[in-house]
Amino acid sequence: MPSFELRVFDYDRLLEDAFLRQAEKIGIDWVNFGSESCYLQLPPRPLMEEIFSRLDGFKKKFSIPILYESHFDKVTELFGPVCELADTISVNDFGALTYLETHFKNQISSVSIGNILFFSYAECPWHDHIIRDESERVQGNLLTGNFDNEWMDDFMARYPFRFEMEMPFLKKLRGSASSLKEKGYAISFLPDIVPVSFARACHSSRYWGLPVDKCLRNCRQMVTLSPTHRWDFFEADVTEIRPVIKGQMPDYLVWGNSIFLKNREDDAGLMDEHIDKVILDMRFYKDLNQVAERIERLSDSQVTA
Amino acid sequence: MNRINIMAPTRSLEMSRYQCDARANELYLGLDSGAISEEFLNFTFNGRYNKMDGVSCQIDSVDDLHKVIRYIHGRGVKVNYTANIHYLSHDFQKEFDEYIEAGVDAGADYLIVSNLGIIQYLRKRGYTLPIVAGVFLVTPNVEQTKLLADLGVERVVLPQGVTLKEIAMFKEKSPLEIEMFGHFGGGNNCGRCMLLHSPTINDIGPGCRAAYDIIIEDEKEDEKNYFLDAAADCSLCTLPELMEAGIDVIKIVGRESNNSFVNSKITEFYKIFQDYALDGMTVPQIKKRFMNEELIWSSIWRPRFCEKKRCRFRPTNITKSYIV
Repeated sequence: MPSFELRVFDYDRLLEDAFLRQAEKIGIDWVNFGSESCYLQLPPRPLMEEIFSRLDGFKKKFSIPILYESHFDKVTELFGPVCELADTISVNDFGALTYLETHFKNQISSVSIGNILFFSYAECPWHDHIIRDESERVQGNLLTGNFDNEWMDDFMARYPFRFEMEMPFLKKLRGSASSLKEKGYAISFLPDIVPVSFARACHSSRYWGLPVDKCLRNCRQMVTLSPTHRWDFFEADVTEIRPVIKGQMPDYLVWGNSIFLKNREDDAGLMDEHIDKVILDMRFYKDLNQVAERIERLSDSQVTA
Repeated sequence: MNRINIMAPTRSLEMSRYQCDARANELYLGLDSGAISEEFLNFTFNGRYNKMDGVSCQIDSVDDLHKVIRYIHGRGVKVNYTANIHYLSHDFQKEFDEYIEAGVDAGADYLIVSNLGIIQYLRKRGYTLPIVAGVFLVTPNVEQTKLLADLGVERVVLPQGVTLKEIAMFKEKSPLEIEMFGHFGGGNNCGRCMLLHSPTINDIGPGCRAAYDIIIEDEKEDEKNYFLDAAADCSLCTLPELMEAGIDVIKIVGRESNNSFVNSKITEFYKIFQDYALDGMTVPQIKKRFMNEELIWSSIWRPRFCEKKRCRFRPTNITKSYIV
């Protein structure tokens, strides 16, 4: 049976004993905090240490965002305490991974490949349109994860860590998940959202006209985008999307600089034996009662299967 | 103040002629995957489809590849061969090897590669051509460039969104040559952005520049809003600073451009701007000279980029939203 990880973005919740005790009671094994995409979302060190101290009884994962050069030293200062306090650290660029290997390989044995490092063409909202006329062999290639090939196997052998792979739960990626499992990766599926794109720019801040350096965590407010006009590169202008196409295009969910799709797939296969962990994103649940219901449904689906 | 190499796109002999006339220092190109196998339709081994909206983005055949590279070399210009596919199944090793061999045989000077596994493979296979780590690899920090150097890479293309200050840090601390996109590009991390262009359905265009209805807590708050548009398109005015920073190569986007002559004018602008800067002219003086003498700048661009505030390194609504 896979374990359950709860991804929490609101740090205040992690300071509430009642929240943590309920999480434990409903079957949450792991708690994940930090950020994959923005260093400003990381908790200051005292808060980070306070949160870790409250997570007894849980396995702990801390997520490090993609690190631009200006942020690199600031964030890598946290690596030492994180490696001591966390069970695993999630990274989102190869520079951070290599830095961990060079400086902290004796302090942490488990590293998670985050959503910015792992990707697949299967995450493209209209990948069916793009590949529909290609051969089955080409389609099969494109609908794998970017780490799922022998060349990346050889490359990743340089690192001494036990790796976890964070992947969106898409039926088309189940084959890749199984393949990566055989190669030694622990597989974690995210059933709530599909990562699509990430930016240096905070789209939310720009929309609200708020300065990023005095961030008020405006990224906590989810914004839904419904596509209406496409960019015409040659005309350097936008043209309205035809209704027949618009009806097939999904809405995006944006938090700050991160763009996702709501995952519409059913849960069949989510609890397969080669899945090590299910990561539940707290942004999609009003409270832990809803999380508990989800865990119960998933557990029942496994029993039924 | 160092002169920066300008790297321009090409997909044909004609476009190569325009770009060489525009005094590009390096050109980059790819080979149509149909030249390797009839199995491939739009799938390629590089960062562009074979065709976009009916416009070919690649050199058509191996014979043409030889002709085009011979021509480009005859003009004293170097050739970057694009093999920058995001990732590739080992199942395609034979075809990929043929693709690489085609470029090497034709005389390419550099290989552009955007996958760490593939970079390592090419070196182990014995290819000694200098490798450029492409923008799809998303190299946001110097530490990653050290990894790339260890793998035998010689140059890195920095991702969208790096600041002038960071470019200077890269130049100071990185063992690699530094290249960046100077003109056009996307607004997100292009190597990890799955808002992909569709080669066949026009309605599905680059998501970062599209317009959206904005819905917050089930209420429509705005419409036709360019919420995701963080694309910065132009670095002309910052060329003197980039030259001071010592950046090695500036790249222009456009293998899919429907007008190769117009695209080559962008190359020419970057060359002329540098010439004027090295002559000691200030940016306002250079822009004034452009308005008076470079008619295509005033008739097509008017200047469009300045009006739309898509400066890559100046404070604009877009660059002020960068997480720095």
